[in-house]
Amino acid sequence: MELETGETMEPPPMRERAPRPASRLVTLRVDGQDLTVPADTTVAAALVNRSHPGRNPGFQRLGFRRSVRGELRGPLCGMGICFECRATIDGRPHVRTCMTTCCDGMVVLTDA
Amino acid sequence: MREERTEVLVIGAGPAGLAAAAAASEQGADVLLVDENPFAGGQIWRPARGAGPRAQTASLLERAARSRRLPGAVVFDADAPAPSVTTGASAGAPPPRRLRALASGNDASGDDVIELVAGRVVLALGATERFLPFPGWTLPGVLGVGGLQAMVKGGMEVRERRVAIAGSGPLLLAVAASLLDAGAHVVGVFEQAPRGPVLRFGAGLVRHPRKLGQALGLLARLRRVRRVHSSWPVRAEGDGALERVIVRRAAKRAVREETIEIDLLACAFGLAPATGLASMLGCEVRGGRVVVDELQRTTVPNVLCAGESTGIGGVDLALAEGEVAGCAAAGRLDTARAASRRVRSERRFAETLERAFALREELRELPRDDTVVCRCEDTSWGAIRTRRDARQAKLETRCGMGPCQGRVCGPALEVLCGWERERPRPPLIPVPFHALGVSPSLPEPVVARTDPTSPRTLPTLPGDHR
Repeated sequence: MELETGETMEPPPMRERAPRPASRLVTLRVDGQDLTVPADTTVAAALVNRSHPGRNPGFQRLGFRRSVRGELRGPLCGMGICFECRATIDGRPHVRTCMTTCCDGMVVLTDA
Repeated sequence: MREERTEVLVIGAGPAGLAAAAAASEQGADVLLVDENPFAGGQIWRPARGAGPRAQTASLLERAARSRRLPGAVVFDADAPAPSVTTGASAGAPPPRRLRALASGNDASGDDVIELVAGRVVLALGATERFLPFPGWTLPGVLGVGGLQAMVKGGMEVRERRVAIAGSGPLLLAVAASLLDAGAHVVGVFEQAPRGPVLRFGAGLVRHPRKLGQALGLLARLRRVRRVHSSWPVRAEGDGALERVIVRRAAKRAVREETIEIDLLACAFGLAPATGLASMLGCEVRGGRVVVDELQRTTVPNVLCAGESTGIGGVDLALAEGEVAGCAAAGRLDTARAASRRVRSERRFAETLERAFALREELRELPRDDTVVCRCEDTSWGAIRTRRDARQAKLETRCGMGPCQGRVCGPALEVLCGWERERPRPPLIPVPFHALGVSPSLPEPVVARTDPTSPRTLPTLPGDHR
């Protein structure tokens, strides 16, 4: 595939990503449970928001990964450097959730 | 795998990369702009959730309208430079640089691997935050300063969350202001640098009226927020997530400690130039910065570098360097030379910034022997500190061998031990097997061994230790 001048190539889509208003909600499946968030939320933010007391009282999900020694970890850098927020997304392991935007039907597996 | 050929390949679509792409395409070059993020603008112009590109991003993209763009693709591999065999006027043009990128998405057909073939490469890799390990820094809820801001822009909810901001640099104030806007309760900003040098730095901003205006605007927005100098976190505590932080304050005669109950701690000690890809391409890196000449040329022919990777200096310096690099990459050396005057004046500003926010000695005593330094491999300070250098620490303790490839512990160990960062080897990030298969610079993946008694039938890759 050749790029034309002025053309922006989108990455190979996981599924069709039609333009949509910002207020649209999308539903992804996280560890077997549905999670509905505003479109354009990063997966990392969606996962972390499960811990917000306004949403889910007493629910500690700020961390959603286990380190090699079993410590609970959450996002650190927010910009794709540290890999602390990685998860399996649609079958691909080690995806940086802070670099990935939520889509309808996306399947996310954390290891926490 | 597919191939993209271009005259000028710009890697990184932050201010430096955008300026380089704009300048090079204005000079008539064929430009391809690659960035691992789905959006352009880098970290400083990261758009908020649902918002379009920032005005600065849009105007540079407009100048670069003739260039092609490849967002959401991360360069993971590059051919090492061929040894130069000819010199002088008879030397032919150096062969094009070949790099490989992985596009995001899930496409096991292999079409997500892109071979980038370029006459010249401009590296605009930006910077990472410099994290320093202290007890408890691995607890969920402890994030970077720019890190928390990026998360909030990605939709993280901080309304009514108690947040402390700590570390060093002007970013602390900018992020404090943006967190207030997002509805957070900012309990304090703890800057490790003493007040005097920072005030003198502020006074020096009279020579940069626009920056002075920004600083005064920030201070006005933060007038109700507690701001403390000569202060830094020594310990974070909590059960499974952050609950409190203990901050120390070096006063004239006494050292005071204070415990603050919080939900989130944003903490980073300035920025560290991102040098990984430059280093892998064979460019000289000295003192943690990519070495460049006055036209932003690295020590490797046809590889240029601009922006924070050549030394932390902020957005104006990055834009100036990008402009120079873009002109030089397009072969317009005179235009590049003329543009480099702005670089010199901005670099002087960068030096005053570095002096004002120099890291204090006490920070090197933050980690205890059982404090994790390499978060990927859970290697603790006690295991690392007796080693000779980053290479020995890596070989003997796995420090820096995980998926982040030393991007977090490397800059920390520069400060803690004075160690130069290890030159990374491909792949720069964990990639699927099919991506390795197409790479001539990587060993053939070993997949045929089936001995069930062997613990490892696959080659070690970043992140496959689990």
